Amino acid sequence: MANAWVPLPNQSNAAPDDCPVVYQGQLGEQGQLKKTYKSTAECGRDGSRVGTYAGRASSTRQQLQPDGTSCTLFYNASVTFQDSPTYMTASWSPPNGGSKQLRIDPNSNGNTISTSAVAVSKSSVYSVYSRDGTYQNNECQPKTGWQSYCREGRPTDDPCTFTEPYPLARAQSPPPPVAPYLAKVKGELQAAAGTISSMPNPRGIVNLPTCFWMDGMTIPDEQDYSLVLAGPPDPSGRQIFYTYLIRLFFAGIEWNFDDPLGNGEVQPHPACGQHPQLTAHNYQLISEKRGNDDGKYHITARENYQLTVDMYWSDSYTTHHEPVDPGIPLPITVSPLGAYPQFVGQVEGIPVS
Amino acid sequence: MSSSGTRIGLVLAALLLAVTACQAGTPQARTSPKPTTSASPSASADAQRCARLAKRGFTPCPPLASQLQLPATTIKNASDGAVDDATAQKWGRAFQLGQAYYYWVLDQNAREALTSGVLADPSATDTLFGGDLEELDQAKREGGTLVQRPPGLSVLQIVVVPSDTQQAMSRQGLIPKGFAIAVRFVGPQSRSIRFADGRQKDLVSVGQDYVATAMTWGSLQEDRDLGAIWYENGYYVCERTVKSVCKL
Repeated sequence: MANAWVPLPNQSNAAPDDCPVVYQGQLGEQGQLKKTYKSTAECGRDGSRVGTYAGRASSTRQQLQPDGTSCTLFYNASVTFQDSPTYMTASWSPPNGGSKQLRIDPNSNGNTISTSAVAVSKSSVYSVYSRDGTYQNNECQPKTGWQSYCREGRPTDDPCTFTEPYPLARAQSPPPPVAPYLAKVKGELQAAAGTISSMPNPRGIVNLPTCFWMDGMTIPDEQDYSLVLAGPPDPSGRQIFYTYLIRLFFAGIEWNFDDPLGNGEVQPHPACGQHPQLTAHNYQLISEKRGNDDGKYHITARENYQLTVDMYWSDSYTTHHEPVDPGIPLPITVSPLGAYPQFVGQVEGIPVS
Repeated sequence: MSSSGTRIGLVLAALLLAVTACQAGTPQARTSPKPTTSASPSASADAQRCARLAKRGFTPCPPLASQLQLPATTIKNASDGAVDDATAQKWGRAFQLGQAYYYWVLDQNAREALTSGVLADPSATDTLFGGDLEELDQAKREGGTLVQRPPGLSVLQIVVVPSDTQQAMSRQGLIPKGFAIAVRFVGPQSRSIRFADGRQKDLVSVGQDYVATAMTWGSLQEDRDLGAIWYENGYYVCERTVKSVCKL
């Protein structure tokens, strides 16, 4: 129904895996890379982790009336909000002095101060006061004191709100750089490279496949991370919270068997058993002829990983999702430290006599 | 803007304007002037309708359903027998009417009509109308008005929403429904900001070869002031897992 409704090129269009919007306090710590097993992200509602936030300034308004008739003066007291991990606090100054404060449910969405949590993420929220008067000389001359105004007659300790749109979009609170966190992911990957093992060991035999595999690889086929970063506060003090879903995929292993006659892989012999990343190579020459000082083949392996980064966020209008260029060369490659030495000999005949 | 009672002063002013506009725009109002105390029942009913709609953000007063031109389309029943053809036609027409009011709202730049929950569930406002609200705000900020050329609706069809898709809706805080209307939109379509001096700034424009599909789930709602409209609870683009739901 919207232009959102009518899918257009280069726009966020709704899909079942879009992020649900939650109170930003529920997103967990900011700037912490967390391993996750969820395939979807949550978007934090606009708010603040750095201080209080509020909409536009307090103001008065009045009805235009003929002189001599009764009138009402309104005062919109701007409400200031503060986010805590599990609740929000709303505070404001009534026109007759003093200050008021209410603790509010961060998931509430109504038209009183105690239920204004969702509204303040996209609007200026005011607590409304009124006083009766008589219209004289183009002004409403007050006759009574200020009272909390609520047409529905709610108790005055939870005043009704007046809200007006005060939108926040990406341009006012842009995403911080994600590159340092991707470097950290890459670093963790390097530390998790496994070690090469082989069979037969320690002595392989020419023309009989030698099995190789990786032990101790701690990165599974896929590892996902989530990360929450907040944009800088806009003039109202609100921030946009960007949720990143970082997907790391194992993209295969490249073996180098150090064999000048070829690097082909062959079917491992069943006797090698089950091992991670199991492969085999058929050496046709004994390792002493390879020319290495220790008389062994020097086997190396290179693990490849692909990385995708998706950024999700919610602004005052809707939720958004876009892929982010990781900004690092892909695939990410990691290798066990040092080459693995493998002796390959030949079967010695035993004289019969 | 909230629909709270605190806005009574503004609402009264809006009502006054709306009632005036409504009376001026109806055939009854063009008959010989009468004192307001003896207004014809239909004029009075129209005025009340306009006043009610103004409270819901529809200013000026929108035309009656019978006066609106519905977007042309072909209505199909792709529910595999879950609803009968007569019901499918009824829902399809309700969608056309809701869409016609939606285009009217955009033509009037009536922002509040999109957030008041008249055409769609308020919890779906962001997903359904977020882009519209952003463009309306941009137009206002830049001192112009939003103008649109709506897309064509080449076909719409009633489809059944499977349970896993309904679960995704719930996860996202939207109200799931068992039926949806899948729509094939066709270009040309455009949005732009028009300024008082006649300048126009294009926001988005696609040609006549542009085709897009989406589905909106919801239900038929008899609105006393607008008529029977397809009341929307959300939408998904017909891609990936949703493609098989849309059957387009």
